[in-house]
Amino acid sequence: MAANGSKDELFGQVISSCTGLISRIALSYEADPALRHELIQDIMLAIWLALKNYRGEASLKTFAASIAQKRCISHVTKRAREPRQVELPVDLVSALPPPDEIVLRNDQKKRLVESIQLLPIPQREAIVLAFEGFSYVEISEILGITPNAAMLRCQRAKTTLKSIMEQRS
Amino acid sequence: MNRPEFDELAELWQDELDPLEQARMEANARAARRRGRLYDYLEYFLGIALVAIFVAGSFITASPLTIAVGVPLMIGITWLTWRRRALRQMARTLNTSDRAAFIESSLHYARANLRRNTIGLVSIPLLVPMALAFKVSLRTGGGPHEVWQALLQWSQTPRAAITILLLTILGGFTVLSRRKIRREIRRLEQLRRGYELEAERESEA
Repeated sequence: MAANGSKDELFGQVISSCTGLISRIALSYEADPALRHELIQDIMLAIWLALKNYRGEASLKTFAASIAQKRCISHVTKRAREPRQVELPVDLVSALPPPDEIVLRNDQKKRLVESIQLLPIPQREAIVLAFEGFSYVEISEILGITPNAAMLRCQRAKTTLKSIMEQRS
Repeated sequence: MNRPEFDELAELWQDELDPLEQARMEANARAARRRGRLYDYLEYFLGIALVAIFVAGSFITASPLTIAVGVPLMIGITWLTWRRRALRQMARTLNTSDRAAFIESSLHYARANLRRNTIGLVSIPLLVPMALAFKVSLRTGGGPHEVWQALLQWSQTPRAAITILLLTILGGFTVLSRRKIRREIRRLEQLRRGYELEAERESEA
């Protein structure tokens, strides 16, 4: 068990500080809202089960991101059929009535999410972690590669993402 | 993609969750914690309950045939329960060191699942007649001739037809599940190839 507190306390910290991160990682793998909801539940359960092995070597955010990525990969490989392109909701950013600026931002976010979902998985997980503000060292810890390889993978992912976004614009 | 472009996309990506979504996430997390605790206890409880039923049955009518059928049945159920638990444990302890190890252990788990599926397909036709013989031996008192006669009579009843139908449906589901596991193994192998390609590119650079 981690030095930082009991399993319950640690899980409380995950709930209070990592829900946005987990939700966005799930969004990068699953477009269907109902399936994404199930995936998030699975991620939370996996984090709960894995917390007994958390030793505090990495931050809790890194630990949660690592488990979320792995659960998402398992979800992608286990799903019954190839995903159909689900239209993402127009109010992905905010539930408020959208003025023009929000409409534009929502549209940009929708395009970004759809483009990320089209990236190959190794590049997708690298770019999502980079967008979440993880350093190359942290990304390398999560992916189990060297920091240099993490940097190269992020660069390739950025290039691929840019070209996908340009094609879709 | 230059730095300002990246920062702009990162900011867009990290937009705050709306309060409704945040509340739903927290409810999800609490439900996951409850499920986690429940799973820990349920599996042992099921195994113990099944064994207790058969032990009680064996003592009510303790003829040699009843024991001969009941004991292998108990061993079979205990073994199956233990095996299922071991497989689930394997899923929980998926190697967390790196992606290659993770994919390997996922493949290992999927293949173990396929073996479990095969065990299910083989054991259903074996365990069901044994369970029937056990039940009949409890009712008739246990002589082999009486049990055989009772089984013959049972096979001509509508109940037997329903049981066979249900077993066929169960077999159908098992075959479908088998296809799903094979598909999962194929995807994992493709993914492993994808990671290998990325690693090759990184070592070339």
